[in-house]
Amino acid sequence: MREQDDERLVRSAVAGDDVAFAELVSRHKRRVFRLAARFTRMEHELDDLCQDIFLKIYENLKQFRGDAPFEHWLSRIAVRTCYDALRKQRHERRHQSLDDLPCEPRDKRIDEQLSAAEAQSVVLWAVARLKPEERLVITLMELEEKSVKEIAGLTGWSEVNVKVRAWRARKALKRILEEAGHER
Amino acid sequence: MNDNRDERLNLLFAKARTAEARLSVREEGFEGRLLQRIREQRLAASPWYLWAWRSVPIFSAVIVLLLMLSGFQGAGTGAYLSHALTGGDDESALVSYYTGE
Repeated sequence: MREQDDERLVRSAVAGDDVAFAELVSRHKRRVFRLAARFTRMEHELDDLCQDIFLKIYENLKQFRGDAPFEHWLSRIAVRTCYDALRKQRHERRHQSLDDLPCEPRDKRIDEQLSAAEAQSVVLWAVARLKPEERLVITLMELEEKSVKEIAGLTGWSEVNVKVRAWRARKALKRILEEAGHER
Repeated sequence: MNDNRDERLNLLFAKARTAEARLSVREEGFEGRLLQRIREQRLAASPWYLWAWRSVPIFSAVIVLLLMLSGFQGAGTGAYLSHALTGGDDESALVSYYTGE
């Protein structure tokens, strides 16, 4: 039912109905904001990223054929836009020290006492130091709990490629946490 | 050693997953801001002929204004000519001379 409604809204939006597109955005913005928040902590960046995602969706709406649920199609665009944003971020921050990034929860012991919010901060701090492709894969795999096959579908990379990037990301994360003194 | 590090990393991810999803204040009014940006892009991407069509009313108004101005001036010239033809003695004499009346 919901999928049929999505398809009806897509048809109306393609025909030029802005209200229908706004309704489509209202239905899916929570999911998009949730995913985008995995990649940026600053509110204005989050807003820009979500706008970029929905702008791409709007521009490519005619290409949605309805073979798969709209949510899947939307997620693919969202993931690829987030990846583009990560690459752009890395390029812009190449000369900026990562230690200047907000919220640096150093010296938190990783044990049962660590709260969920603290763990989230440590993860965000650590993954910000990874390469964009590694950060994307590890975020989708470990935080969004997507399978290798799902990640391959979302990113357009082969399953082998996803596995290799996930392995490298974990290796790099262990080193980063060790150097930062989290591993004791 | 390596297993220990793996376990800690898994624990870290497991705890991070249980953290509540952050609600952004930017979700409020997001649709409005997005549609505004779409309209701006649509306007910026308009082809030249759309601008030409949009400027038709302005050019029409200018043409009407010019016609009205020339009409006023035309009326003034017409009055002068009429006076010259009907009331002017020199012209009457000239006409009589040429026509032989």
